[in-house]
Amino acid sequence: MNPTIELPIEATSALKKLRPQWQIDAVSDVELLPGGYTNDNYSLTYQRAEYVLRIVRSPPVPIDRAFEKRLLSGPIALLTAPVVAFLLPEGHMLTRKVAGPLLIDARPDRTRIAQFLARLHLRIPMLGRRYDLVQTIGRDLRAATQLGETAPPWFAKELESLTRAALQIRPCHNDLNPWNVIVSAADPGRWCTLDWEFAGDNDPLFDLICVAEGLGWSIDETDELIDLYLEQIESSRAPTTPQRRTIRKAFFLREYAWALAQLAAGNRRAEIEAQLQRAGDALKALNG
Amino acid sequence: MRHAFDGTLELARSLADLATVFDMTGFSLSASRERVDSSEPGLALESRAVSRGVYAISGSVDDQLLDPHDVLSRLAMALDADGIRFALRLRDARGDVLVTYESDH
Repeated sequence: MNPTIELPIEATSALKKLRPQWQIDAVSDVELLPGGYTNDNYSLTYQRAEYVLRIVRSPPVPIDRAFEKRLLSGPIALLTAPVVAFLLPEGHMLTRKVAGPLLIDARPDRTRIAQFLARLHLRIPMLGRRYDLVQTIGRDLRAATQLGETAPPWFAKELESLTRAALQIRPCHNDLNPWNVIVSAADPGRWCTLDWEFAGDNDPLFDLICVAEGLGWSIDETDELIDLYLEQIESSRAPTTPQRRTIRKAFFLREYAWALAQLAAGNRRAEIEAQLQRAGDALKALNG
Repeated sequence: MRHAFDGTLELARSLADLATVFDMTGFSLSASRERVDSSEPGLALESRAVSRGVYAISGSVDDQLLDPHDVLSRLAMALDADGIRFALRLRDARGDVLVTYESDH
């Protein structure tokens, strides 16, 4: 449990806009939730009901919040927490709090995680938006450069070699780290998935690698997850080892570029510094 | 303010089998052979059998705590995903229908 705090002024102001009918004095049990790198998330109680308030910080690369709002109230509503209010253009949001441990804490076995991923991918409808890894990495790098942080030469070389990361395209989450999944039910098909701001069509193996890397799994464990997933989703696809490693490399390139852009924009959290270091080390290790 | 809603469900099975559907909505709803119940703050829900396999449901959403349109929309999506025939109507303070959700089947 996190310590109870007073809701900061910026969050109070956003909450007043999100719920003008609330008596703000009656909001209680405010806690800052861990794990938000670019947003501040607070759990709070109002009239015996529990909520999560997301306060968005301005990102170095703009996020289409109108798209996210449409997504949350429509096609993927049942895959995520009930939305109570969403503020445009800021992206501040109030949702009901979903009970259950985070995937990072629950640590279910690989088969259940494969079931979750397969069910999730089967249930996300066509999104009408592509999440192109090369373009996304390029955008983050440009934002970082404009803000005075340039990627080292070895990074540019690695990125050049990433000509075509996605080999099969389907609707994906694209930020599926284990802090974004609540193990809210016994059935993995009904776990709750948060933070859909990067959702778009991509190679589904990218989501698997996000989960596996977040859980600190080895390459062998990740390969086992991929095999279990392909079995669950009844796919005839048989990605080769080089194809799997290409997606893994794309993941680390994305993580590195994203962290570089965040740091350049002044978001100098220790976790983001650590992500930059970790992704850089992983990319160097991939080349022996 | 509380927003009333009502509607019908047509089931080829027991009301208790709706437990999974209600679970999908993300709200604390439960179903037994005879009735549905809500322990979700801000959401009241009840049912009664009208004829064999047909249930009338009614309830209300407190807009202080929940978005009434979101609640009805989630209920409708969950029922639709399970292939259940239904109609749900959200009403305004005067009792006029604000929006109707109906199954695609």
